[in-house]
Amino acid sequence: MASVKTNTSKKKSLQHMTLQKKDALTGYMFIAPALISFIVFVMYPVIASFVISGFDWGILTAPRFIGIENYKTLFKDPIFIESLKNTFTWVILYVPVSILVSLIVALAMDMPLRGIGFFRTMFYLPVMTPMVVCALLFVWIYNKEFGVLNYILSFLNISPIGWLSDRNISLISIALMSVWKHSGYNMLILLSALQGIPESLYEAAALDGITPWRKLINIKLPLIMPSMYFVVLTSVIDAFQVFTEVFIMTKGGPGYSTHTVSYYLFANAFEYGKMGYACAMSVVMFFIILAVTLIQDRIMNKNIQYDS
Amino acid sequence: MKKIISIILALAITLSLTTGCSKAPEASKESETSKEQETPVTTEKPADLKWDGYEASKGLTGKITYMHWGDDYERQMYADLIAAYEELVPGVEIEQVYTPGDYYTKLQALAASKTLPDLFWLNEARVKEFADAGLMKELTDVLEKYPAISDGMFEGAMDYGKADGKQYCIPKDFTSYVMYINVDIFKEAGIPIPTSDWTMDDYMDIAEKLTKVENGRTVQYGTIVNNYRADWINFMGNYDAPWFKDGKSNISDPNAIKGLSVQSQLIEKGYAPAPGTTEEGEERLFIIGQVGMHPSGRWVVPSFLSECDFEWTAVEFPKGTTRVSPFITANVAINADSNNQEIAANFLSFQMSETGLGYTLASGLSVPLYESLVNNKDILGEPADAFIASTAYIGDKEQIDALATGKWAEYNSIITAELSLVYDGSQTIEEAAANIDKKANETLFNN
Amino acid sequence: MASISLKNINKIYPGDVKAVTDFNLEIEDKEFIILVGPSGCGKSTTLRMIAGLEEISKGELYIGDRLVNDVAPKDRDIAMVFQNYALYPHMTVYKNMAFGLELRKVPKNEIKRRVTEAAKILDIEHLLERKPKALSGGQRQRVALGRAMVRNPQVFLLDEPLSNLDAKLRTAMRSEIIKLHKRLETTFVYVTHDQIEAMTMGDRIVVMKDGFIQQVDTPQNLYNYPCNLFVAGFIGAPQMNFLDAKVKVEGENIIVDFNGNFQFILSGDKAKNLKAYAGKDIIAGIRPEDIKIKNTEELSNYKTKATVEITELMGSEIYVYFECYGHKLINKTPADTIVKSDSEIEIAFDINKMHFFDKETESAICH
Repeated sequence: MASVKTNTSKKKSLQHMTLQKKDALTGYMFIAPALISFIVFVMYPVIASFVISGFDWGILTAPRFIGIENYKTLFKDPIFIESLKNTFTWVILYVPVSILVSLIVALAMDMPLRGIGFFRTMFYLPVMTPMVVCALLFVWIYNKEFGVLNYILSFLNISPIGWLSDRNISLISIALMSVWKHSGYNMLILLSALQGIPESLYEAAALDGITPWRKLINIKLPLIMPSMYFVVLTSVIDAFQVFTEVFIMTKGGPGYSTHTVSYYLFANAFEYGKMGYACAMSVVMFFIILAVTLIQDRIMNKNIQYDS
Repeated sequence: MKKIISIILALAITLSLTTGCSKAPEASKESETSKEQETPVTTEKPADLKWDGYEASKGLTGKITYMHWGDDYERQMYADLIAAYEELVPGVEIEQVYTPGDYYTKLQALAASKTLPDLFWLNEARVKEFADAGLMKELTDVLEKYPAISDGMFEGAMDYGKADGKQYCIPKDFTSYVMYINVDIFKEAGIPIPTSDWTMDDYMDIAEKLTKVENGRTVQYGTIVNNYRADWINFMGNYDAPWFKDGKSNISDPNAIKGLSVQSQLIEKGYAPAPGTTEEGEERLFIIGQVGMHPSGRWVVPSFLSECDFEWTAVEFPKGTTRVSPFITANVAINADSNNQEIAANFLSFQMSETGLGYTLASGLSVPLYESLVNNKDILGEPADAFIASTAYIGDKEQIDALATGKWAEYNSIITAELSLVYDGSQTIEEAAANIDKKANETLFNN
Repeated sequence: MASISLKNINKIYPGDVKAVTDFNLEIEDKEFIILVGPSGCGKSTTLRMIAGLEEISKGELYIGDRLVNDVAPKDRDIAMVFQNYALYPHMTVYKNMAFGLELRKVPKNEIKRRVTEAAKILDIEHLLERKPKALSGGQRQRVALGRAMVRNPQVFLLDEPLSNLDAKLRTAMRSEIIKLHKRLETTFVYVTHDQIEAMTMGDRIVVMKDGFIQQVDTPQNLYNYPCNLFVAGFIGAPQMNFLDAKVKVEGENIIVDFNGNFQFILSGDKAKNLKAYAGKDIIAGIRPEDIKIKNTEELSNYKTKATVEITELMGSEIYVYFECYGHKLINKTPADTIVKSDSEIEIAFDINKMHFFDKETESAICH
């Protein structure tokens, strides 16, 4: 009987809802799957890592609250400082090159050539290949003794280079691999932006007497800026979190030359049993990425035309 | 989330590629044949399959879980082991939890959520950590009930399953470190295959002789240097170096430096290539016949067997002033909170019995820990002699002491990082040793 | 300021798709010429060939005395207004208008003078600092015109410039463009699919269909003397009524017989021209305003019966839809006429304004 009662009252309340509320409810129902997974898989871990960063905790041991001790240790930890430095180097190295390559390829792929679909696929192929596979592939390509890269260079009488074993270039080598791996994705976004530019704009420009260079500078680039904004933003965020490449290709070495924050964080969390310390790192990274993103937003958003 | 998935993927694929790739063809063939051989044996269980714990198994009922890592071939071996046990002990069901990738992430997560399997594997470096967290059953009573587990096991091996003097887990098998020899290269150079009494000086000498340089490019290396714990433990240990002393890192010890210098000199003089930061490359060099001597563990045997198209063998590690053998193993532990510890213990005794090891050692991946089995060619195939010889000096006190701190993983990372800077020529061994000691003692061993 | 001469222009796309066939046209200096036709008739393609945006497959194109087949668009001294305006979305109105001049390295102050002047003419001075997205459709249209104006081109090409505007604005812009043409005294080539635009704006109209020119003439002539069935049907709203008929000769009389339902005796020129079609099928065309309804005027001899279906009041006039022996006809009549739906009425045809077409060739026999 009780259940019957609640049922009717529920029904009633639904009937009594205003149309606007009903619409709102429908809307929430639609976003619920995304919202719930966002809360469970993003919000909760983020908040949890903020909390955990205040503890001395290694998953297996009982957590012990230590306040900001982890943060104090963090900024005295030379390996963390080194990792931070490497991560910034990576971002500065990788992002511009990656985006430049993506842009150049996108511009080339935008040309109305025969069989262009084939080339577009080729450039996108690395994106669809798992990072682990790509990284392992390049471990062999970069191998100092019998890697294909050094083999090719041997014809130019260049003596073997330790692409991954020389600490001065190992980060660059990984970055190049990563550019090859990822540029297809950004290429696709920029390409679709380029293809979204109405043909009539080019025609108007042709009548205005535009040169190819001015066309690039004055028409194409400004009009793909919204996509470029997205590409830069996501690339920077991704770059700050570089992990898999390093994990597979160098394990952070030689020395600490390819230690990135994400790699060091992983090692601390799952190998050294220092989850709390790792969380403190992730919190620091969170704020660094947030700050960088906000700065970028300030700089770029002002100059962007969204409606075309 | 994306990162975690990629980590899992990463590990899964690295494992399957590094182990699976190199071993798969031959190994899977062997697996089939071994199964064929094994099956008829299973039917004759009263005669052959009874083990010391058989009596104790009577009346056991229940279900337990068994978690382990390994390649697909190992998965099959353990599936066979479990099947054999289940046939002998009909009341028991064992669920195999095969975790090829990201093992410790998963194990730690299970531990944190109090859902650890009844039996699980644990690397020697993790023992202290898990013991401290009270996750493993203390095994004194198990060893009393099943004395065969520890009886006849090589001296020192059990130490790797101990924490704070208590036995928490049992090494299931092990691999020592030996020197693999490309016999063809030795013959071509007219150098006799080293014997058990060869020294570091001989090693250096032969490495020089085997190194071939053409037009400024090295086309054949004398040997290989791995930046791997077993390597540097061997080099330091063979000079009897107290590289971990009184709870502190002590790599600056002259004998430790002496041992490590052998490695760095090999690179410096061009007898060995500077090691990459991942190990696969070095192994490949041996397989393609460009290296005379290759220090490594037992695990390379399946791939060498299937891939090397030249004659090869293994000899003991060259002597310094003495010899040690670092211990690389997987321990089997019983969950401290398991409701079925009786069954778990019984299964453990089965696994460690001759019958059980017959299933799990067939691949040649590792070496049995019992005197009685090591000389059994069905269990330890060729090359066997070097491994058998190394059982005389299993274990390294410094390694055990360092493991006992529970901070091995991080210590290991520091050593690897600093040594890699020696290998790429950025610092000397002395500088590296000083850096290691300083870093480790400041951050890890500071109490 | 220049004339344009198109000689045997053809546009053939890959796969032998003929978009424009043997297009011949002399456009005079300062003329306002309109290319009109249904979509796919080749009018835009022709315009784009003049602009240089499409290559000319065959034939010769002269602007002034210069053969421009292989001259780049920017060197043809033309300006074009696009259907979607093609304004640069990231530039201000000023910059949009100035951009072409900047590219041509016109001095800054000269650019400013021209842009300001054009903006004044187009009444968009207050919008110069805005970006296109902040403008209404009509304002964007003006900017597009302005961008063309500042270049002082010899020829203005306009490709359906009004089709994106609502009806009211379109009417307003129509007259603005006419005024602009008068003021600029430049050749205008204007493409539209809307015959009303064509009729109201052009000095001459080129009617196209399927890549062929159907007729080139002044609006008045097109209306009064359509050269074929297509032009007759395309020009004029509501459409011209068409009736199947047969020519009969009975003694001296030339008779047009409408399926035996009713017939008219012809006289004068029309009789003379149709004599040759004795016994043949023809099509008679009559514009809606040339059908008379009984109770409005005195009827002539050329009358018949019809049934009113519906009426549409258009303000000053009424469209009456009726059926006449199976033909659906439309009549346009002053609004004060009283016609009831479903009523039977008598209608009369103004025989002098009746057009006759050859049923086979569809070309006009006489008007």
